Amino acid sequence: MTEFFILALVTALLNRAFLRWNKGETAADPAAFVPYGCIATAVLVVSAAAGYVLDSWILIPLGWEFLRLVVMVLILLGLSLVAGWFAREYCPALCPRLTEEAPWLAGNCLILGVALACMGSTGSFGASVASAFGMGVAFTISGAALEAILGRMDPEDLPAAVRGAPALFLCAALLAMALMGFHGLSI
Amino acid sequence: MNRKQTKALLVALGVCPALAAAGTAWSGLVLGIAAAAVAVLVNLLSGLLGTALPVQARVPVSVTLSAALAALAGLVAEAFLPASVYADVGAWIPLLAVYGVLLSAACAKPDSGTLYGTALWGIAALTVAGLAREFFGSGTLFGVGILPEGLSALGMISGVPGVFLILALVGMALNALSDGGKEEAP
Repeated sequence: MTEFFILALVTALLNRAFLRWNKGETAADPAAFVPYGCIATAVLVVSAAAGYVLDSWILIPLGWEFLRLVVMVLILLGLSLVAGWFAREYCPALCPRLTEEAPWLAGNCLILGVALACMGSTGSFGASVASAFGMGVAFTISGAALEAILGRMDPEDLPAAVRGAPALFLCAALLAMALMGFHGLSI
Repeated sequence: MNRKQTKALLVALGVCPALAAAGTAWSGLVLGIAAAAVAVLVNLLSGLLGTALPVQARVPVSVTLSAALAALAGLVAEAFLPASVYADVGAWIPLLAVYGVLLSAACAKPDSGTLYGTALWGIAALTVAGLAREFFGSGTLFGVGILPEGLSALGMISGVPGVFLILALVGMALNALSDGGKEEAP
């Protein structure tokens, strides 16, 4: 299960890096990731809580567990729209890019994965919310680390075939190694 | 395969953990087929509904369609796959909802190649990645022992960092196969 979350975490970071790369932006400012991480954490916690409640009170009693994924995607779509509105209304100066990036939270596989894990969880409501919050904090810290790694990389130093997506994947591998170190790494 | 098509495929592979579960050749092949089927069906159904929907509704409808198709793929996989393969890939199939939408969106750009071609390359990439991880991680190919035990204990390759290392190698190969890796910075 730890591997599942580390993979989802690193892939979610790649998700954002790719979206910015497609727009021609290079990542360089770790501090700029913090507002995005805070919004993502809020969406994570609310989606995990909503998913747990809906699953326990509606889907399981009615025997509709097969609808978990569709229900969670619809919740995430709504939450990502609310996050975009919140960023536009209340913190346009603090994080101008957040308005464009918040809607893509619906396509964040970490949030989807954690919310689905909470829906199928046998743990308590508090444990689900706490684990979602912890994943949000980990997402914010790891995102700032990935921005710092990418910011120190000069594409001119790289061989032609490595530039672009392969360079992002190599950075992701380094980050994954660092995160795996927290629970032991077998070589 | 052209440069734009390579980029679309790598974006789709990178933003979705399909590769993550491709720890063996069988799971790579199964996930590749499921991911391609979801992406192609999302594209077809979105295209059919596209003209009838207002612009603002198209993305939510595509995402919901993709989630429904990924849920269906999960049920089909649970019903028909051997238990050992389903145990590897079952948890990841719901996340293909993201892959379907993103691959469709990446291929919607001009000159990005057809979705069908990119989806086929996606199956090949996931299968090759599964083959490589299985071979270096456990010394087998499609479950058949190739290397003597003890020679293949590369935990790094079968673990999380190996996912991204293999994906980087696949990306480099695709870059080299397309047009020499003339790409902008990440």
